[in-house]
Amino acid sequence: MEELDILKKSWNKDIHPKISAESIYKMILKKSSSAVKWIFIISMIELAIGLTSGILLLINPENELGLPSWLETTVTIAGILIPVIYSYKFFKNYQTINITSSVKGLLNNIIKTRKTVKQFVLINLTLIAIMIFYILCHTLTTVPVGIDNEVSLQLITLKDYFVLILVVLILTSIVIGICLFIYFLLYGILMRTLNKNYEELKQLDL
Amino acid sequence: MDKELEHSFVTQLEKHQNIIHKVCRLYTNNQDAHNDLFQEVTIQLWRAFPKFRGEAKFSTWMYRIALNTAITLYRKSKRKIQTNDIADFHFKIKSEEYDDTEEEQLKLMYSAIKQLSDIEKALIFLYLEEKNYKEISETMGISEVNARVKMNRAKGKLKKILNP
Repeated sequence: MEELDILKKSWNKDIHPKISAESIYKMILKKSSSAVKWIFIISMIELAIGLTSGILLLINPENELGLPSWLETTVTIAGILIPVIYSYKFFKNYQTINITSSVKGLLNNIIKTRKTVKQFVLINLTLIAIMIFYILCHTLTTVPVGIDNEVSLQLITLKDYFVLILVVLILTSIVIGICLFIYFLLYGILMRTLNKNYEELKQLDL
Repeated sequence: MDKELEHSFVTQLEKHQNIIHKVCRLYTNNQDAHNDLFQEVTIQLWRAFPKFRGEAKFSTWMYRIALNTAITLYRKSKRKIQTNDIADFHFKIKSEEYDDTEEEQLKLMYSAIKQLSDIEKALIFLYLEEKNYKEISETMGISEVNARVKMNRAKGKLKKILNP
């Protein structure tokens, strides 16, 4: 290609002003602003939230949330195990991110690390959704003290229960929806270029 | 020891800085973005430097890190790029070295390359650096055959942009 050959001829000529050794010294003291650094920071925050919520459930032995005992046990065990397993997986994957890998290898490792945290967030959100659902059901169906239980039960019809379930589902969806919206907004920006470039390389290898 | 390492790094980087400038030239559209990317590449190189064992040439080692930073780590400047920036930036070539036609062709060439995807830009960069397909496939993480296919496609795309 003729034009590319013209560019090749001038390619190695220094056309940019040289950066002094002094400026390079200053540069290496500066902090990185790379996308991976931000992905790492946000992932750490996500893991920290997961760990904190697990610990909070552990130090709150009284069944104040009104959860059935089987659910409380499941949530407690999951609250400990999931953050521990995913923290380990995250750090193991993070260690494989190496700037001297091939372009595809590096992209692959970043995306793999990100997927681990994504799974962790989705599992946590599912647990939160189940808990919110039960707590709302419990709160809305509990008869306030002072009201005769028999009387109140007679007043509740099947239609009321359907409306109740619908309200609970909508409220749970809104809470989870807001969480997901913030989540995808945050990562959408950071991961867009990475995903695009990775897909391009992946398609080529098909 | 750290001072020695620092000195050795800065000396080598100062000597081979043109490699980073060439990557920045393809991946950025204005002087500020060029400086930002140059700085990010320098930081990444410095971080990886303690693991650099000298098995490969310093310049070869720089290619990977510079390209990886441009393709995966660099967060492009959100400032709106003016169309003039693309055409005028990086063409401060001394007038006696080139005639007007050649300079004009170079300008067009750079603006055409900037329309390619990040991956295609990397392939064109490696072609201009006269790397063979084995080296290109290793740097990109794809097979040699696919590197060839992709390179031909990138060249074809450039031709189309230049001769619509």
